[in-house]
Amino acid sequence: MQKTEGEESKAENEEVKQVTLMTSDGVKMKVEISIVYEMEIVRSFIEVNDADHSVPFPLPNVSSHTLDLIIELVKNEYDDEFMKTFSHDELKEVLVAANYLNMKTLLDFIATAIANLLEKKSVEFIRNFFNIVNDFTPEEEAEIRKTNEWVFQDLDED
Amino acid sequence: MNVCLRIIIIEGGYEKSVSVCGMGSKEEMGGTEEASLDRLPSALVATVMTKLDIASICSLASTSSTFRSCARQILSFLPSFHLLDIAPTGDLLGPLLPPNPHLTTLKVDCSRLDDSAIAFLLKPSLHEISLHNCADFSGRLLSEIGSRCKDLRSLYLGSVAERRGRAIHISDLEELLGGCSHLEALILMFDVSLFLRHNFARVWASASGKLTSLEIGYISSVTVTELLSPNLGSHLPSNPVQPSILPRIQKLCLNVDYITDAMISTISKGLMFLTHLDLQDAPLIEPRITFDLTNAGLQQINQLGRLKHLSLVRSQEFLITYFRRVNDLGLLLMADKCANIESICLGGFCRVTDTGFKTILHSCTRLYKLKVTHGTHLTDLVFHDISATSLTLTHVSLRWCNLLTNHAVLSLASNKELKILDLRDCRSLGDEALQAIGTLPRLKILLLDGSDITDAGLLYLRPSVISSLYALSLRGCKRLTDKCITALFNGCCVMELRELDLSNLPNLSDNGVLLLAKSRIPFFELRMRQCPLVGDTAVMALASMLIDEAKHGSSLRMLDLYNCGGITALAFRWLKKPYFPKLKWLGVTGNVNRDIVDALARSRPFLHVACHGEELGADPYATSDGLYTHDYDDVDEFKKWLLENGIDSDFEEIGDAGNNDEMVV
Repeated sequence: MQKTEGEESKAENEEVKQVTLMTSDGVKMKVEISIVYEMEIVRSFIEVNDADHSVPFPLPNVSSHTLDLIIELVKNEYDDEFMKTFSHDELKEVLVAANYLNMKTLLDFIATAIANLLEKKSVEFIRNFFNIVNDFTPEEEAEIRKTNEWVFQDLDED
Repeated sequence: MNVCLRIIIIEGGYEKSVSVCGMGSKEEMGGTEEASLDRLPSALVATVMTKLDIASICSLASTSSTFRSCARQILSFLPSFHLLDIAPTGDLLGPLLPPNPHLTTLKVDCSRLDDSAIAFLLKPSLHEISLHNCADFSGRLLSEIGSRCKDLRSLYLGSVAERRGRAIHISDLEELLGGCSHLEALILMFDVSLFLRHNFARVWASASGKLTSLEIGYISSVTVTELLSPNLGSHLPSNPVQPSILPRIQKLCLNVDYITDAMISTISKGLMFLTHLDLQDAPLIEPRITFDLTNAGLQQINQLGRLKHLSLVRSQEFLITYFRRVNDLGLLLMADKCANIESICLGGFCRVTDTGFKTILHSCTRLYKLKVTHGTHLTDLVFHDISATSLTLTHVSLRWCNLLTNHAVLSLASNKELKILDLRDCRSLGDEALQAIGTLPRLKILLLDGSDITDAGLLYLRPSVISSLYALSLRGCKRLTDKCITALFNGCCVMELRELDLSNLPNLSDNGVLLLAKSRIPFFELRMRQCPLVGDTAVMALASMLIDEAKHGSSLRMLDLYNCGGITALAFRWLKKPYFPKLKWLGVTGNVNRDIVDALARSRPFLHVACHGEELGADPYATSDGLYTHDYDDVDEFKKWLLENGIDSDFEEIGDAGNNDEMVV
C-alpha cells in the first residue's frame, strides 16, 4: 500500500497504476487502481475528471486502519478466515466505510459476516454489539418478551 | 443529513432496488469526523438485518424502539420468509407477514394455523410456497392459492385438511391447477384419493404446461393409469386434438396402493421426458396378478433410456409382502436400457438373486446410489468384483439383506467415495466389517443397526472415520457395552458427529452416558430408546454438559429416552428450563409420570413431547407429512429413515429374534 520512491517508479514501469487516498487521520495511502475501482465513490470521480492520480483523494470518513483492512480484504478476495480476526469495532468500521465508499461487494460480504455473527444471539449480545440503549418501558419489555418467547428460547447466551 | 442506502434484492435473476432511508438525525454519522461507532445508521443495520433469519430479526427488534421500526420495515421487503423451526400461531405470524410486494419464498409450519391465515400467507408475489402440516386448513387453501398466487413456480403442501371435519373438493384442485399457470413443481403430500376419484382424473388437463415435477402423498394406481391414458392416444395422427396430460413431467414420485404393470406401462409410454421415477406401494392384501408388478411390467420401464433415478419399493406397512412376480429375468430385461441410471432403489424384490442385482451394477455405469431393502437372496457375490468396475458409489443402503457377511463390506469398501453406508438389520456383520469401513475417508452417515459388532470393533473407526462422520447408528447392536463410548470417543478432539443412536442397547448404562457427556461433543440428536440401564443420572449428565463457554451447555435438539428403565420423576426436573435450552423433540414414556410430562409440555410450549413410543422426527414437519415421504434425497437420508421407522412396526417381522424383544417394564 505505502510505497517508497524507488518502488513507485518501478511500479510505474510495470504499469500498475495507483491512486493516492487521504484518510481521515491525515495519512496518504497509495492504492492499486484495481482496488480503487471497487470504490464507486472514487471511481466515478476519477473517470469523470481524469484526475492526476498523484493528487490525494480525500476520504474524511475512513481511517487509515480501516482502509488497511479493506485493502487486505479485497486483495485476499474476501477471505473469511482473515475477517474472523476482526474485532466487533473493526467489523462495524468496515461496514460503515464500505457503505460510504460505495463498495457493493464488500458491503454485502461484511454485512453477511455480521449477520452470521448475530444470528441466534441473545438480545444483550446484540445490544452490546451495536451499542444500543434499551429505550423500552418495563411494560413494553415484558410484552415483547411474551410475544417473542419462541425466539428467546432458542438463543445462545453470549 | 439523511443517509440513504440502496438495497439491491436479487430475485430470480432480476435486480430490484429498494431505498431505505435512515430515520432521524441522531443516528447519522457526522460528516467530518471519524465514523461514530456509537450509532450505526439504521440503513446499514437494515442491510445486515436482511441477511438474518426470522428469529434473529425478531431478536433484533427486541433491542430498542429504533430497531423495532427497522425490523418492521425489513419485513415489508424481505424476499424470503422461512419459519420451520416452530409452529407459530396466527397471532404470532400475522404481524411478521405484513404486505410485502417483494416476498418470493414462503416456508411455514402450519400446525397451528387454519383458513384464517390464508389472507396474510398467500401473497401474490410468491414464486415458491412450502406449507407443512396444514391439517386444519380446508380445500380452500388450494383454491385460494390458485386465485391469489398466479406467479407460483413451486408448491409444497403437506397434510392438507387431514383433521376431521375438513375436506378438499375436486373444484379446489381444479382452481389451483388452472390458476397457477406457471407452476413447475407440485408436491401434494397427502391422500388425494379422498377427493380425486378416477373419473375426475381429467382435472389435470388444465395444469400448467410447464409442470415438470409432481409428487403425491397417496393416489390409487387406477387413477394414475386412467390419468395418463389419454397420452397414449395422442401420439396417433388420427388424434391430434386430444391434449396430453402432464406431458412435460420429468420427475414423478407417487405413493400408491399397488404398483401394477398397467400403471408402469402407462407411465413409461405416456411421459416421454421422465428422468426421475419414484414409486412406492403398500398393499393391504396380497396382490393378484392383474394388480401387481411382473417381469413384463418391469420390461416396460425406461423404454427411452432416459431415466436417471429409479425407485420401486413395496412397503410392508400393512402386510408382509413382496414383488413376488419379479425375478432375475425382469431385471435383466430392464437393465438393458439403464445405462444412464445414476440412482436405483429396489425394495421388496425377494425373488431376485445375485444375477439380477449384479446385472444392475454392471449395466448402470454411472451409478452412484444403490439401495436395496428386503434383498432376501442378495449375497456377497454381488459385490465380489465391484472393484473391477468403474463405479464410484457414494451412497449404499442394504437393509434387511440377511445373507450379507463381512466379505460384502470388504468389497464395498473399495468405493472410497462412500458418504452414506446403511447396513441396518444385516445381522451377520461384525467387527471385520468395521475394519473395512475404517478405511473410508469420506463417510458421513453410518447405520449399523442390529449387527454383531463389539466394543473392540468400534476402534477401527478411529482415527479417520469417526472424525468425518456426521451421523452414527448403533441401535440394537446387543453386544455393545459402556466401553463402546470409550472406544469411539476417548481422547478425540474435533468431531463432526452430531447424531447418535444408541437405542436398544441392553448393556448401556448411566456410566456410558456420563462418558458421552464428558466427551463434550455438541450433539444435535441423541436416541437411547429402550435402554433398561439408562436413568436419571444420564439425564443429569446430559443436562449439565458444557460445550465451550455456554452456560447450560447441552446443544441437544432431540433426545429420545422412551422406555428407559431408570427414568423417574427426578429426571423431569432436569428437563425443565434452563436445561436443554435448544431441545425441540423429547421422547419419554408418558404413562409412568403422566402429570409431570403434561406439566413439562405446558412449561415448554415449543417442545414436541412424544410419549407413546413414536419415533422422533428430526424435522418439525415430520409429524404428519412424514408418512408419505420417500428417501430419495441423499442429504436427508438419515432423517427419512427415521420417518420410515415411525411407520414400520417396532415389532419386526419374519419371526427373527428382533432388536425389540426386550421391552422394559
